[in-house]
Amino acid sequence: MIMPEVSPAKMPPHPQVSGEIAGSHRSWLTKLFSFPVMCVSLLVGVVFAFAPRGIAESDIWWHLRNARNLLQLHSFSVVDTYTFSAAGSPWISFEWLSEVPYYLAFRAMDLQGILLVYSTVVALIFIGVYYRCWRAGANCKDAAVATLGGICLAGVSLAPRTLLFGWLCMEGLLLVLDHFRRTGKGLRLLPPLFAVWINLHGSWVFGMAVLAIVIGSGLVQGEWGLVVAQRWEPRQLRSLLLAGVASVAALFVNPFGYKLVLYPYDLLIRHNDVVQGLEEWQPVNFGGLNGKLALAVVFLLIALPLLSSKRWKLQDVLLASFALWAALSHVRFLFFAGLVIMPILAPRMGLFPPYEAELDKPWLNAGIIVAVAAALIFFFPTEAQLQQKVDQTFPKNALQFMQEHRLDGKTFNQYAWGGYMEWNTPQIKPFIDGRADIFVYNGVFRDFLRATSAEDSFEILNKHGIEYVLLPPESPLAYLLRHSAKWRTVYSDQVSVLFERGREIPAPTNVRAN
Amino acid sequence: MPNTSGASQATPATAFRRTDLVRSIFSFPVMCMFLLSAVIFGFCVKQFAEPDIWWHLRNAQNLVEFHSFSPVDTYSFTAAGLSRPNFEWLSEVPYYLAFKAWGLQGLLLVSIVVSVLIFAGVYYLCCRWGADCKDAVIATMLAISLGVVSIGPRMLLFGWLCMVVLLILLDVYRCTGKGLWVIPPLFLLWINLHGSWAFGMVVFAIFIISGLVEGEWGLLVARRWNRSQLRNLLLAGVAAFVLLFVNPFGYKLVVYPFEVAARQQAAVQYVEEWQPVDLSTGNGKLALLVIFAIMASVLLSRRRWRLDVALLIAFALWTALSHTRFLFFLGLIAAPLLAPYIHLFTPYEPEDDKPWLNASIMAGVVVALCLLFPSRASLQQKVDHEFPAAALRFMQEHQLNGRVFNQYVWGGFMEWNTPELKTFIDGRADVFVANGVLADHRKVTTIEEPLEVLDKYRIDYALLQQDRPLTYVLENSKGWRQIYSDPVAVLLARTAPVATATQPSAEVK
Repeated sequence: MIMPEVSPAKMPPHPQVSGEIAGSHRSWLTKLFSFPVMCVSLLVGVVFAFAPRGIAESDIWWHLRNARNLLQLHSFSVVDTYTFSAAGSPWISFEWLSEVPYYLAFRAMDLQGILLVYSTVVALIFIGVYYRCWRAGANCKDAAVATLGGICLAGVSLAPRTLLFGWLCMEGLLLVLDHFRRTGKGLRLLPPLFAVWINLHGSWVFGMAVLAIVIGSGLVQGEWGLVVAQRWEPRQLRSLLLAGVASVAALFVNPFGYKLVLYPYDLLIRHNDVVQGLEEWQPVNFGGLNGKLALAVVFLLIALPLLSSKRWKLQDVLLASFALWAALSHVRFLFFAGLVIMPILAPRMGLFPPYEAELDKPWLNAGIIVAVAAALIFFFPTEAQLQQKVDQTFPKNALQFMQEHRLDGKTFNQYAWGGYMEWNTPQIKPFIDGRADIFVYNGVFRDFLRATSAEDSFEILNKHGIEYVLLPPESPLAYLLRHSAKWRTVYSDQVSVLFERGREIPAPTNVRAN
Repeated sequence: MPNTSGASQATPATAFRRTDLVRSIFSFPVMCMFLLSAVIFGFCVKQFAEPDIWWHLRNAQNLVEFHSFSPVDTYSFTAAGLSRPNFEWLSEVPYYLAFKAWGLQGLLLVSIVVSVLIFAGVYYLCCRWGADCKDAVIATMLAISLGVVSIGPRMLLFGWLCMVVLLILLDVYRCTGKGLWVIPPLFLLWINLHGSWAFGMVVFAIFIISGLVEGEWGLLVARRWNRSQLRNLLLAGVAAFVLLFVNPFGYKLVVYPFEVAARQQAAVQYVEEWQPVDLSTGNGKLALLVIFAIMASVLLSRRRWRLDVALLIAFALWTALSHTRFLFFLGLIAAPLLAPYIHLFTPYEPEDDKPWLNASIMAGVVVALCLLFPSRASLQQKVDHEFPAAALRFMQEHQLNGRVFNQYVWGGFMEWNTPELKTFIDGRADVFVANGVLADHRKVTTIEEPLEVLDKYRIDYALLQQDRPLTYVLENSKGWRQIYSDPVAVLLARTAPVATATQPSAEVK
């Protein structure tokens, strides 16, 4: 049973006698198998059920290679060594700490290990979201619905991504700030949190923005319609500012010093090409599922204040606005919107009657929790199933063909396949991979976009001295090359087609060669 | 002899009425509307080169000259003989008559007049819904900015004009209980002007339904209609529905918008204005602004919202975010809703008004618009920058009249200017969705199966925009060669004979 907020002073006295100990055990069991905990187990079940869909993530492969290099060579590479188009260009692995758990899990359990890492991280994030929904005053059933909404929004990044560690830190930050608002304690956790965060992912900038909003919204006091602001007490403000300054100082505790601190701003200033070229950086498309979810959030943010006269804290209004703006402008931030907005909306939903702890049925809850745990274990995908998903997405057979025939010339590749090539066939240097920034700065990304959209394609292939082109069969450039006299198809399957610039090559017997 | 005593009594009253009328005409709010008209004028000039106007002109020309509606397509070779009611026939007539009288200047004039009428209605609604006339200017500017997506010589404008009239009528009825009798003839006119009458029916339905309940939920409030109000509304609704059938195509025109909605998937994928709002564009950022403005208006004020207004804004927001073209509709609804929340200026005081200053500004606006009104030559230049006028002249001069694959937005221009050249496709997306031509056009332009589709339709010429993927593919193809090029268009001709279905004729060099 989860009780409303209780101050330490009001906590029950420590049990003294055996009868009290037995009662305490029962109470502990009742809490463990309460309805809210059962809801959490169902939410975790949802996360684990959806997680395998994202296993074929394109960037995980070069992250694995980064982590392997780090653990084997005990040093950080500061220049690119993976591609031929950016070889020697300065580059820092700004997510190095997130890469390590994925690599260790992969070494221990292959793809199942990777699945386990990111499913667990996402589950932890949404357990935090559920807790904040409840802390904000929602009953446990409304909190479960709101958290489920958050999970749906998170679908956009439910994959083996280093970004997830960033959102885990964001959840940690929101929990700390929430705790500070209620108890005045916990701020000392912020500097170490930011010290870890900057080494995990560049999303720490969003953390700083959230911290600034929380501090800024307590600098004023007043009421404006439904919005209310409470000024920080001088002691609170001093603690917050100190924590903020200490957090900024902690950011410099990283292997790359000020460069890692400046990195997100550098990307932001020069990220126009990234926005144009990468799906997850583009604005929400209201025609797709993510767009419809975003539309639902927009309608909820308008309807809930309209339908209830509950007050809104200025901090919540600013945080929700920031999260909504970020998410609508760049689809990848829908995850962030889920973390921030759902706990704000949850207490205003009022979909279900309040949870009555006395009516709880611990044994039924326990049965459901055990069933969820059993289902998670029973339905956890096998290595073969996960490998099949990967093989359906990446050009495994084409790369095998290239290796068998020692085709190791300059290869122009599909953007999403670069990392896979770097991990699986490091001797074949790709043209581009998912580290978009490095290729934006040297113009390779723009050349890639132009070539793949049949805009000066031949000229760009010539400019970079490309000998092989590895693409999905249905891409416009594949069509162009398929009908070109200067290029010929040397390998093709359902996933990929490999073109060679006019040179003899023996046709293998085990694949369909044109 | 006239009654002098009566005259002596009437003269001051008449003089007073005249002064009152003059003060009303040359009031500050009217002057504001003149300034807004100048803005609308600017947008209309900027967006003059509308691709669909040309086939509308040809429709109207056929109607006016032959006094009959063509029930089938005769403009393209891909949809020749297919049935298509001309569902915007009444909007086409004023454009055609204006074009006949003043050429391109006439087209511009019609679009300006209709747009000004629409936004004058929006401005009036803003004031009716409780905004100060200065704040209403800001809200109307927002509506104009959202409307930019469809400002230009478009039939849709007549539809939105009817929508504004409907919104005003409903508001008048809500306040005075009068004016409902105008709604049935409005719908009679509307269905002959544009298919957006279906939106009018939704708005009318929302208005009626939201008065079927009574209550307060937070800031939301609903008042139930009394029996006589409800009877009048239902009667007006039924009459409006019946009058929809008074059109040259009968039930087909009534069913038409629903058919399009049911089959619009291909149009949504392909036609830009049917696609969801792209938030990285100017239109998208405006939509984002409206979302935040609505949220702010709810949160920062304890003003009550009527249920019908809440449902209307939800409907408008959903349609606009789902389909860019409905941003115009969002502007019509959002501006009057948001206007009363804007408190940027001190309230307008009619007593402090300066009619002569207002009159001077209004005269200045009129003079400026007359002086700045584009000449025929400058309008023609705008058209020539957007459409392949020179390439078509080249084709006529060289008597190249084989099958032409054309850019989607150029079909109408070809049909109006070179009717002897039958087009592959034009802006009447619906007719080409039904027979699969739009999907095939997409396969060509997205380089899915360009050569195969060009072979399938036995295309002899491709008239394309510069710097397009298809242009690059054909320019680098052995089976095609460029025979004409200018900054606007490239004309490519087939050099190899059409191949079989399995083997495309051309190969990239």
